[in-house]
Amino acid sequence: MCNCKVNNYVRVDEWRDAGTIRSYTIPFASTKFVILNTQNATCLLDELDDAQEATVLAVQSVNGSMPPEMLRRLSEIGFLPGERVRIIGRGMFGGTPLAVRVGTSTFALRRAEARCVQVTPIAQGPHA
Amino acid sequence: MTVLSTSLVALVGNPNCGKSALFNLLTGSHQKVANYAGVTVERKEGTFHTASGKLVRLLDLPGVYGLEAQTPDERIMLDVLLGKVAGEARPDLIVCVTDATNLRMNLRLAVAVRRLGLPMILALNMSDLAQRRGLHIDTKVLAHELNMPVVETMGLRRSGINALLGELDRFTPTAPSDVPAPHLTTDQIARDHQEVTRLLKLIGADRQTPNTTTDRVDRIVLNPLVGPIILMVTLFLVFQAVFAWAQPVMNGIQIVVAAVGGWLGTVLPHGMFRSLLVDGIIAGVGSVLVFLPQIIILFAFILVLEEVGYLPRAAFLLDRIMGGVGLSGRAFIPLLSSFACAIPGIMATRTIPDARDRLTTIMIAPLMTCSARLPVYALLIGAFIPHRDVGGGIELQGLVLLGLYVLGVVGAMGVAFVMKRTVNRRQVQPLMMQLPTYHLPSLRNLAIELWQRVEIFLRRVGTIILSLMIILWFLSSFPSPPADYAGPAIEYSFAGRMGAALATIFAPIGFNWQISIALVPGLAAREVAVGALGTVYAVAANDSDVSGTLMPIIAHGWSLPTALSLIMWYVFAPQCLSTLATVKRETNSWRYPIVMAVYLFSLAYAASFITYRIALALS
Repeated sequence: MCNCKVNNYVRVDEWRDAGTIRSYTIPFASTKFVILNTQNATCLLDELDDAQEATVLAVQSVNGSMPPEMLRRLSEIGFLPGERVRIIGRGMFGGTPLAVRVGTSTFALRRAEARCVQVTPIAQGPHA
Repeated sequence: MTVLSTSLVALVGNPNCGKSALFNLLTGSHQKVANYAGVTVERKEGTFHTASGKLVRLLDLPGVYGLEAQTPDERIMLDVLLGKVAGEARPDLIVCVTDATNLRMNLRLAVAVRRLGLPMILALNMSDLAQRRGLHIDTKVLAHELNMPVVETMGLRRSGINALLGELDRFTPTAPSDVPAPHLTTDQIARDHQEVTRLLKLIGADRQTPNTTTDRVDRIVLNPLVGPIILMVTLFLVFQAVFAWAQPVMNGIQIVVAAVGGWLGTVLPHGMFRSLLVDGIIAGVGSVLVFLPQIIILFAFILVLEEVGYLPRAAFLLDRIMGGVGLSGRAFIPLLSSFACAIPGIMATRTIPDARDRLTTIMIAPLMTCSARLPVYALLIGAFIPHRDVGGGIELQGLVLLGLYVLGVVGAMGVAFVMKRTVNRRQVQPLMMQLPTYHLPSLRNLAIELWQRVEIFLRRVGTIILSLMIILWFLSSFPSPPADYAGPAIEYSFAGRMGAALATIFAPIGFNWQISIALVPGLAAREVAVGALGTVYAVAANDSDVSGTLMPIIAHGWSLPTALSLIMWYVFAPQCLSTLATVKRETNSWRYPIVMAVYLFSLAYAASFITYRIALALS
C-alpha cells in the first residue's frame, strides 16, 4: 500500500484509536510495536505505490527546502486538499520524475516536488 | 449596438486548452507575431470581422494556470489584463478558453480571472470531445452561475467558432471597473477550487472520467523500458528526415543560387556592383538559405509532436538525464534542432517556460554539431585522417566524425554543468509539467504555425544576415589590390589584413595566415571558410569541387597538428555571426551574445592549444 514506514507506525497501545489495521510487519524489530496502519496513514506523494489512489491532505515543504512560490505553484496546478491523486508513471532511473494524475489532469513532477504533497491513501484500492 | 466599433479582445486560458488553435481559427493568416517590449514573451495579435462587420483585434495571451504572476509570461498576461503594460490598451473583453474535458482544472482560472472586473465570455473548447466522452455540460446553468455568456467551441473545426462569433457580435464595450491587482494566496486558490467543485456539481460535470485512450498510450510511452526505445526511434526518424530528405531540396537550392549568381555574372557589367550582388549577397544569403528545407522539416516534426502531445512525454523521459547537468527535459528539442542549425534550435527554446533553463539551453546550442560544420570537417578529415579500416568494418574517418559529434555534446553538457554550479545555483529546479491528453493534429493549424516559424527565419535572413553578408563582402573586397599585386586579392583586403593580424593570435594554436584569413569570411557561415580557403589558395572560384581540389594542397601544406587544431577550433568556436544575431534577438539583449562569443572563443582557443601542443609533442 504505502511504503512510508516512518510516518505511519503506531504504537500498539495506541492502535485502537488509529483506525483499521490492514497489515503489519515486524522486521527484526527491537521495538515490538511496528504496525502499519493504512487507514489514517499519511505519506508523501512519491512514496505511493503505482496506481494507488490517494487524496491530497496538504501541500507543504518537508524540510523547508522548497520556496513558497513553488508550493503555491503546486496548488495552482491542482494539488489542493481533497483532490484525488495517483501515480501513473515513473522516470527511468531513481523514480524521478513522476507522472501524477491529479483530479482530471496529469502532471510530471520531480521527486522533490512530489515530496511536498502529503497524501492519504484510499484503503479500498485503485478500482473501488 | 455601436456602429462598427473596434474592440480589443484577449484570449486567456490554461496551457493545452486549445487556445492557439482557436486563435488560428478566428484570425486565419491575419496575425502579427512580435515580442512585448523589453521581454522575450511572444505577443500574438490577429484581426477578424464578425458577421455584422465589427472589427475585432484579438490578443492571444500566454497560457497560464493561475494569476500568480511568477514567470515573465504570467506577469505579462496579468499586466495586460490590468491595463498596466506601456503602449498596450486594456482589453475590452476577455474570452476565457477552457478545455471542456478538463473543467476541473480549467474553470479555476476562469473563476480567478472573473475577479479582474472585465467583461468576459467563457468558451468551452473541445466540447465535441467532451460530448463523445459522455460529459454533458449544462451551459445555461453555468452561464447563470458565472453571470457571463458561455459558448461551446471546437477549435479544430471551422464551424466550431460560430457560437463564439455570435456572442462577440452581441458584445458592446463598457467602461471596465478598476480592480487592484489580485493577491493570490494558496487559500484563495483553494477557495476558487471549492467554487469550481460546486459549479461542476450543479452542471453535472463532476464525474472524474479518466481518458482511457491517453492512459493506455501513456502506459506504453512512459514505460521505463519501452518508452526510451520509442523515443530513440522517433529521434532517429527526425534525424533521418532532416538530413536525408532535405538533401535533394538543399542541392536544388544550391544549384538555383549558383545559377542565379552565374547568370547575373554574365549579364551584369564587370565591377563593384556585380561583385556585391553575386559574391556578397547571393552567395552569402544563399549559404544560409540552403538550410531552409532542414528547418521546415525539423519544425514540421516538432510541431506535430507538440500538437499530438508527445513532446512533454519525451521531456519526461529525458528529464533525469538532462537534470543531471542542470537542464530541463524540455531542452532536448532545441538541442536536437541545433544539430541541423543552431538558429532554429535557439528559436525553439521558446517552448521552455523557465527563463534560466532557457538561457542555459541557448548558451550550449551552438556546441551541437550543426550541418554547416560538415563541409569543414569533410575537408579536414578527408585531407588528414587516413582512409583505413580499424576493424569490424568500422572506418577511421567516420569514427573521427562521430567523435566530433560526441565531443560537441560532451562539451555542451560540461558547460551546462558548470553553469548549474556557478551562475544558476539555486536550491531546486521545478519541473511541474503538464502531460496533456493526446490529440490528432489539425493540418490547418500546423500550416499556420509552421509558416510563422519559417517567416521568422526568412525575415532574419532578409535583414540581419543580409547586412552581415554585405559587411563581410566589403571587408573581403576592399581595398582592391594594385594591378601588379602577386598574391590573391583577398590577402590585400581588410579581411586579409585582419587575418594577417589574427595570425599572431592564432600562431600559438598552429594556424598559418591562410587559415586566419579564411576564418574572417567564415564568420558568415562556417562552411564559407572552405570557399575562402579556396580563394586564398587561388583555387579557381568556378571550380565545382573546391573541397576536392583543396584537399591535396592543404594535405601537403599543413602539418597534422595544425589540422587537428583547426578541427578542434570548429568544434567550439563562435564561427557563426547569424547564431549570435539570433541570440541577441531571442534574449533581447547584447549581453548574452557577447558572453556566448567570449566563452566559446576561450573554449575553442584552449581546446585547440592543448590539441596542437600534444600533437606537436607526439609527432
